[in-house]
Amino acid sequence: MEVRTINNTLFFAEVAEQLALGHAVRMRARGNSMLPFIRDGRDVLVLGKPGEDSFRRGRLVLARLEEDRYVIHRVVKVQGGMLWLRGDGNLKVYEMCSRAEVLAEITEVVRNGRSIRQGSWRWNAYRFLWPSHPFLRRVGLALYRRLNKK
Amino acid sequence: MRLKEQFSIRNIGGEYMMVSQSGSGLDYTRVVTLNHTAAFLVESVIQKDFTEEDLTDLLVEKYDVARDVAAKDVQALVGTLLKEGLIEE
Repeated sequence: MEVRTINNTLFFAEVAEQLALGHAVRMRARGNSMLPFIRDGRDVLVLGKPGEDSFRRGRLVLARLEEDRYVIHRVVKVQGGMLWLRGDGNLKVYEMCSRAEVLAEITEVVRNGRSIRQGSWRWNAYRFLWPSHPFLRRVGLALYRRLNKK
Repeated sequence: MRLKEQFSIRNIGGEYMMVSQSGSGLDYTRVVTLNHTAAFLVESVIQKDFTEEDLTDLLVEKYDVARDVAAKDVQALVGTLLKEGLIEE
């Protein structure tokens, strides 16, 4: 099977269109900024249309930032109309976006055919046990990489 | 034969893609790109039983091509879809 990559802007426009029609969308995860929860190229993400509940701390959202940059990161702070996002695998990098820039909420992560649903104990374990402090994160990521080195 | 799953043909940036549809969702983890003709054929037989003959008829009707040429194209397409496990006999 051939693996091809579609331009981000086109792909996410398509995703937004499907979500607006009320369809859920499954896509493969890319990038390492949500480690250790979401693994590049292996995990499958299920996206749904964002609702009022999506704009809450701890939720995972897909947002369009400036210059057509798309991220799937965790909401870490809600202030006024703005959301602060940070990838679980990022130490000190935050993104800020408005509610209108949130295209989707991640409702499920599928790993090796097993589904981790939003709000399930495994989902919450990644949310609550993973440290927020940059130094602890650095240690956690180093441990993760060492354990997963092949 | 018949398409194994429910598919939706999407045009993304000028390219036709066959996206599998399950329940209320679309699965972009595995998409098959199609050319214009293939997209037309696949779209015509979504949720229908069909034979290579049927597809050849469709092609001849729509594109005004010689029957043997159309039949060859259809054979190639069906071969690919079978190989990828997208249709069943």
